[in-house]
Amino acid sequence: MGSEVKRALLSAQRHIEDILTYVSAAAVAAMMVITVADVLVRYLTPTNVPGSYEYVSLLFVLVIYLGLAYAQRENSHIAIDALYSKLPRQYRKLLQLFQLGTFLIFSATLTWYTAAITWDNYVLGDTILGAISVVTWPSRLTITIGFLVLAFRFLIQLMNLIILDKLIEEEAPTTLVEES
Amino acid sequence: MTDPIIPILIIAGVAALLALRVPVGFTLLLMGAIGFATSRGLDSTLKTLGGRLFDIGSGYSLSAVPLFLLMGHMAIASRVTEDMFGAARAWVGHLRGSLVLATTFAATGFAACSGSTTSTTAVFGRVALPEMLKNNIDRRLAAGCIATVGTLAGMIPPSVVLIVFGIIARESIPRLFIAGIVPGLLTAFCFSVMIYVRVLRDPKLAPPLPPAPRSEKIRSLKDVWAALLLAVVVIGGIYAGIFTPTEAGAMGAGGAFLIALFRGRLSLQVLRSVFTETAKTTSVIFIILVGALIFTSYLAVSGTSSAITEGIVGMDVHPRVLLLLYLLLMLVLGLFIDPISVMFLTVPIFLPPLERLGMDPIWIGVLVTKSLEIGLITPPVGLNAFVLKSVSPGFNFKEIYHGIWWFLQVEIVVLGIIFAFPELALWLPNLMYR
Repeated sequence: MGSEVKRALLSAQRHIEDILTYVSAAAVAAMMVITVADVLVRYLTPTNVPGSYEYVSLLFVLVIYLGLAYAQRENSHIAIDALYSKLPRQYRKLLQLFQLGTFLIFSATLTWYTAAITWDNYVLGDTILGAISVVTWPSRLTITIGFLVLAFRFLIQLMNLIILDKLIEEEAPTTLVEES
Repeated sequence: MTDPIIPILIIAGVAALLALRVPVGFTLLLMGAIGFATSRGLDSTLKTLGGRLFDIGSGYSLSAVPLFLLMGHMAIASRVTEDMFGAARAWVGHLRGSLVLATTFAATGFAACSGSTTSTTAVFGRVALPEMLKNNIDRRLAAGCIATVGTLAGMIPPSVVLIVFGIIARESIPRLFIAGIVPGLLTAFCFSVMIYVRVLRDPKLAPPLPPAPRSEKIRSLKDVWAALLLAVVVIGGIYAGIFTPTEAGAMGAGGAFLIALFRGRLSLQVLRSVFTETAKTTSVIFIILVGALIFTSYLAVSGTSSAITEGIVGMDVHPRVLLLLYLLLMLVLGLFIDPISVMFLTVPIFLPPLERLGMDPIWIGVLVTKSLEIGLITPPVGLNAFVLKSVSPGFNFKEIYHGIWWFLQVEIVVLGIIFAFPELALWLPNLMYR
């Protein structure tokens, strides 16, 4: 693969992760606005905001899963350093090969299965039943997207490890771009 | 019930992966899935898992967590920490303990607006620490104070730790919030006494400031009334049953947004940072929660949880001794493992037998939270010490941990008091439902 193509793909991955994080941030803002509106309308009028409970629940799914790849890129997922940090570098490299390979396969598998479930729910027209019925597939789709982008992040980190000999904690997110 | 060797291997697998720095959430998710796959087959397990990822994430009560995190981040953006520190400095800066006491009081007030211990430590590290050093406060005392007072946000509502405990333990989050008030204030009081006595014995540790004029004291109150009112509305709203925790979080975040807006402290950049930080933290916390729920479902289905419960219940030991052993285990694990992860890993296993033995889960929640607070300041994985070091690189860990030592002793004494007198935690929530 040419270095221009690699650069473009890695840049796209990074942009997608950033965009997903902004979407996730917007979802947090929407959760706040919907809930505040519901409380105010409920106490100030005899009615309430229809579907507020359902929309907040569905938006929350998005907040959890869309930020996974970004957190992996930033090495922010909570992990226990006590033993790992004392290991020689070659052992840490082996461990990361195992870890990234395993979770690349796992997240790719979850992408496939969650996509299948999303499709089934789209076809069936699955809804959350409440004051109004809200379809669930868009929210379910964000789980698939979250794991898909996470799988690509694991792949990039695995390539950085194999080709550039960079451990996760040593790499800047664009290392492969800059050095290729 | 499955072959007992399989759950043992799965649990050993979790321990091995965690020790090798595999992220906690991914570890629990993977090993839970492998556990289910051994009895149900891979295809069926992955189909179920795909559905469960949605079911867990769409729980309405869980959405209180990002909203309270947002409230804390928004409060920091509105710079109420500076205002609270300024007010505390004006009112108690002339006493023995001066700015160290002021920081403790300000952090106690801010804890009622923020549920995140690390955010509280980071912001006070930036706001109060430079002021303390400028006013010749002993470096170790200053560092110990900043690293430790952040933990008050873990106990004083709205506490994210208590919400997460409530979710795992399926206990009432409003009751847990209210139960945290007295232990949180007791901790702040004991810190203040310790600081006062130490400075009384060695005045050079924290020279007092000149008394602030009355006009400055009055003005300082004008700066903090809105934030304090917000805290009262949020906590009072939950106590009175006006808001659910999710609604209280949203109202708190909305109120903090208005405070920041009217004080001219919001910009697009600040807003973007507040919302993205909240989203990122939520994702990091909740992938662990999702993994923990999948893993503990496996432990329940495989019969491991009930076997552990039966084993513990069947032991001929006083329940309080068992609880004490559990807290000791938490403290030891907290020396090496991130405290939130310790809670995710141990609460689902040890809470059911302790509940069956007649112990109040709300009281246990408060004790667990107190143990987590201690884990946040104990080496080698004292997260708050790392946060302080990151915002104040001039400090070394020896200074920070030396400073923490006095506060750590107070924390252990308070843990002992709450253990000996459960009423301290249960009195207010019991009034609530009378």
